[in-house]
Amino acid sequence: MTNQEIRQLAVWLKEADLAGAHICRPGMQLLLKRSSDAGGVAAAPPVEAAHEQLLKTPGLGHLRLSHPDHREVLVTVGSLVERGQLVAFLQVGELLLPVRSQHAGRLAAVLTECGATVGYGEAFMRLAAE
Amino acid sequence: MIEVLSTTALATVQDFGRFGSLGYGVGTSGAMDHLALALGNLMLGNPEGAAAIEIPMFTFEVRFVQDCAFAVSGAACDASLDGQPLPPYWVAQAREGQVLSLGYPTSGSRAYLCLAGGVDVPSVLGSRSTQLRGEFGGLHGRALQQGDRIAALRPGVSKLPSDFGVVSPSHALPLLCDGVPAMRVLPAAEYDCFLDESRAAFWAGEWKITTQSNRYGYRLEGAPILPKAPMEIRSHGIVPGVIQVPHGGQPIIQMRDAQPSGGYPKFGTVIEADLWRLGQAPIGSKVRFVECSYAEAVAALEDNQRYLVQVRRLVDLHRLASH
Repeated sequence: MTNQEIRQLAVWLKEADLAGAHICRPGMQLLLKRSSDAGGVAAAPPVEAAHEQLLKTPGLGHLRLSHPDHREVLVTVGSLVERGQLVAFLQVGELLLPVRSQHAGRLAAVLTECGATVGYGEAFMRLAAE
Repeated sequence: MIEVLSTTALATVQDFGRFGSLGYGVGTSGAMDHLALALGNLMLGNPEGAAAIEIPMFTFEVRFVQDCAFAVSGAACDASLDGQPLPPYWVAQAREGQVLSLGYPTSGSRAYLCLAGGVDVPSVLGSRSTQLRGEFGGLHGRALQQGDRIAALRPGVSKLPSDFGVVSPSHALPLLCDGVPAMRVLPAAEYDCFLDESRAAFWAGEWKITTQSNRYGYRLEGAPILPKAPMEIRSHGIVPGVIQVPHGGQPIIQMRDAQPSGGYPKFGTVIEADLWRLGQAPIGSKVRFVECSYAEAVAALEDNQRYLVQVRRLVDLHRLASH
């Protein structure tokens, strides 16, 4: 299970107002518990204003805003972004991993250059709530 | 299982090819872009040479009759699954009823649709490739038609990661000469029988890929290659990559569906490691040729292999990390 999937699970727990989840699979066990305070688990960092959402990198690599075979960026500033929409690629060597938006909104700003080296959980785009 | 929706032309089932039957007059066939086939299969966890569908004409549309993971590799075509865009060189999970559409490519000329496990057609003489001339292999020995149903060997919901891509070979293994896509060429048996200025012009000039180019061969257009004296040669064995020069001096490069013998003088051979580049050069585009040695030709094949090994290692790591 990837960090991004765990993050997504945490978001769903919060949305469904569930206290936690316990997942067992061969070779792995995951226990998620929501703390009682409003912040919840890893999901929503407190620094964000309510009308803004930051998109964060799912791992280490080079963040690409466009596909190497295409000139156009995946999303342009000002355009609407749906949840689950492909907004960037994380390039690790010859591998391209999809970076999908965890939120819906209008792309307000791109915070990193195309091709920049990023780590896990770095904010790279800012969405304004519609 | 997929069903072909578009009235398509010239899409065929291809694997790496049918080797060892040239002596019976059976050409090799096989994918025009071996790297694209290998990468598409690699992303799906298939053997690198598993059979796939080679698509040279667009738009191409199929409906998934059942759940099946797939990958689209080769030409950077405008692909979408039920309207959701798919990046080039990408693997995805299709659900029953979904429609995959491949639009006109922005670069390259042949796309490959690989299915989980590989395309399930009978193996004939050790290969699933379509032998168009002999009308065997592939699906009923012919190009695909609207309404054809093609089965995958491992349909269903894939347990492997199926939402990622790889950087295309044209970016990973670029080869340009003065900004024009280039291929390396070994001089062949009759090379010395052509005029010095013709030989010089061959390496220095740009060559246009004419409309008389297909899986059998590419006819090129450029400064005529003229012999020192007229040549009459008996038919002899030839292989994909061989550059023949008929009267008139406009060369023909034999491609994967080449017949196994021919009698035109041989000027050179596009090296095996670079045949994929020619397979992706669109009709009407220009290419250049770079002279190389036998040792360089072998090293180039090793470079391709190293690239595939590197991608395979990363895909394996990604699988481990996704568990």
